[in-house]
Amino acid sequence: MNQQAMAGIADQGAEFDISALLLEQGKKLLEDRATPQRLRNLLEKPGSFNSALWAEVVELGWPAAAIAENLGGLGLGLRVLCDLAGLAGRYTVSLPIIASAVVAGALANCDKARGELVAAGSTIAALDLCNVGYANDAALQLSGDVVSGTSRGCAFSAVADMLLAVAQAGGELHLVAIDLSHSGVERHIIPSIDNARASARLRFDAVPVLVVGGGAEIEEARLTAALATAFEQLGGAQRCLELACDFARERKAFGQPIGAFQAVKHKLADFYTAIELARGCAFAALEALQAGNAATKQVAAARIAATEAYEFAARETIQVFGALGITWEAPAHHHYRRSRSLALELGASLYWRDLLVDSLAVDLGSS
Amino acid sequence: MLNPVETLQPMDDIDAYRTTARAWLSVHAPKFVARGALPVEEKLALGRRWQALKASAGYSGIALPKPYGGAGGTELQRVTFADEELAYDLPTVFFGVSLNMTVPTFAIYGRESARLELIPKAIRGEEIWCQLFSEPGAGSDLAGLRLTAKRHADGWLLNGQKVWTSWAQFSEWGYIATRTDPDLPKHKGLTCFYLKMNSPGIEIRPIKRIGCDQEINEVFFNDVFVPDTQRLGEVNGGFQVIITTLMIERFALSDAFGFGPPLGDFITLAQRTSVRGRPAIEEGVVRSAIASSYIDWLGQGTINARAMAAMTAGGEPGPEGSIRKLLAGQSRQRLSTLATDLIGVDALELDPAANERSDFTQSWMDVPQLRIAGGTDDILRNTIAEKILGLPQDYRPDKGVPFNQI
Repeated sequence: MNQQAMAGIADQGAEFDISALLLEQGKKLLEDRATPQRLRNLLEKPGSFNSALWAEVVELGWPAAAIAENLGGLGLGLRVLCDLAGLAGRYTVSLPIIASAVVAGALANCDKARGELVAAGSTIAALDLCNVGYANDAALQLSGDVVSGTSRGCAFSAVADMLLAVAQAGGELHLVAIDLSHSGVERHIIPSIDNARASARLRFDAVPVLVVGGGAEIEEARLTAALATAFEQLGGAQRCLELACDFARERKAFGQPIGAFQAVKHKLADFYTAIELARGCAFAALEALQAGNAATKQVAAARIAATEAYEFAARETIQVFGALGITWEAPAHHHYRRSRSLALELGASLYWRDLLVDSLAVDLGSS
Repeated sequence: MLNPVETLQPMDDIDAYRTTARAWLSVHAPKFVARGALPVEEKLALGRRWQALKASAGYSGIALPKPYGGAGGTELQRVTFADEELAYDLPTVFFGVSLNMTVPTFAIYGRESARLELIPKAIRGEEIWCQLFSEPGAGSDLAGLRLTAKRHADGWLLNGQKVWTSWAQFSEWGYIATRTDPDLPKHKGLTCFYLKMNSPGIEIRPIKRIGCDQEINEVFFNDVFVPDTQRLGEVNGGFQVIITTLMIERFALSDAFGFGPPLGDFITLAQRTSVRGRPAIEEGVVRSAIASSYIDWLGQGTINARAMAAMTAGGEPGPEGSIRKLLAGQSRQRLSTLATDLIGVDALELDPAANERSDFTQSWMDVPQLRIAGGTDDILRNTIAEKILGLPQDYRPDKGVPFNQI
């Protein structure tokens, strides 16, 4: 079913659960397409992007799902974005759906036409929201309506048409949308731990931008991206748990499955605990964002918990697999790589922890 | 059978129930909050008055049937009320095992005349029922219990020892698991009874814990006679009765701070403390602990809310509820330890009048029991691994072997 048909059904009202259908189709698609061979091929080459898979999920309406209907989206809300991100995380596929939703949202009031292109999947979006240091400083300098500087380590920047970034002018931070087809943009693709993230170093030399907002818009974009990414991390962590449990049940040593040894089974119980705790935080954050409440604390907690759960699960899944775990053929390293990529792309836990504790301390002071 | 058939209960109903309960509590509960270090007898007396008042308003024995003096309500209502009640520091500790585990089991397996006579007294707090399960050689491995019951006249003679029995010294009744046939494998030869705790031959000795309360006891049985009419379940069918007990409290309420001081107290402490001139709140270790505790609190809150929603819809709480006890104990231990670091040597002073919910030293002192009682952290990990993740059981050489040959 194509996106127009989807939109048509969405118009017909709620008797048909579009979100469930999207997820069901998506699961089938990824089950078929995210083969170990394809995933490994993407890792071989720096800046890899699976454009064939992207075209397929665009056809299914993934980038449009969470985008408002007045921008040509399906208007299904944040929950479906989180669920689709979770699916992508499970299969370790890299698709810029979170960036699409965040960028289209940021463009809604200033460049509707471009927002529609993002929703349609014809403009690929990337985000550079908080990957610089742990303060609110930005690597990009805004002067008038042009930016200069370097953006590093952002997923999809190797293939993106548009970057949403934080830029600094004097002491002020601005949210800017940058058209990456401009001649002042230099792209350098460099090898990374996770080449499938399609990341590149972008150098800007007086590139014109559209200023789409200030502090409040930056905060909103960060929180939305961080929450959806937490679900992506949870999808990956849950898959690690399944892989590790399956292996622990089948692999025998000393006359019994290794999953019968408490050194292994207690570790897996700790996986489960970390994942369920992180899931609890993610749902609390989703609820707070959906209700339009101040959600910084909840999202920061969800981000930190999901990061920790995924890292723990990915690291220890390799350990459960033993020597097999460190081979190129086994699936564990995809998660190991992805867990670190997702942990850094939107700002490391140090940043979010600091934000969380400041936010809690302020709450306490004001109560 | 006790377990009410839970019908679909609209969320509006339970919200209304919660609102009513909250209003009722706000009027009555403050008068029953134990202030300072009350002697345990006075605290118990206060607790009995609180139970009686709750019973008169239908807030004690909420899920127990009306003919037995209960409110005939649902499990969800019980959990909802308990959730609201947690907001006050009330002397309910003496009645937890009695009303949430022991009496509900008796309500299923007891004889009708006895149920009609005894359960109302328990619900009003006039009589407490203790649970005599653990033994020196049978804790996590409960089915390894050795206290014997042998047929005698129209009943049974009990010999052996129980241990870790909460509030045995204040209990009128005990619910006990015994071994009746040691020739059978360990799960098969057990039988349950209830008995008068002042029966001849019972001796109760308090066990002093590292914390300051007077909760647990060891209980010795020397030719204690129990009439067969006080048997619960079938002869040698005791394990089924035990399982029923463990299943009754489907969703035990827990506090995300493990009934220790709340996170806000810790943050305030960190804001007021400095380490070599630098505010403690700016220390990475301190910030990391604050973030972890908040994550524990937030995540558990959602897990609780999801369980309540599942029960509201007439379903069962998800298995993720089992992680709460694991998290709460460790979380409280971590935070209390770090809090005493911040307080410094003053934290070595143990104020006997202080309460573990507001004093970090008391909280630290008392927290190890939280990681043991009601399932040790280690057994909980086994349970999660086996029951939820489907991993194999541990190697168990006693499986299927007659008990007297283990």
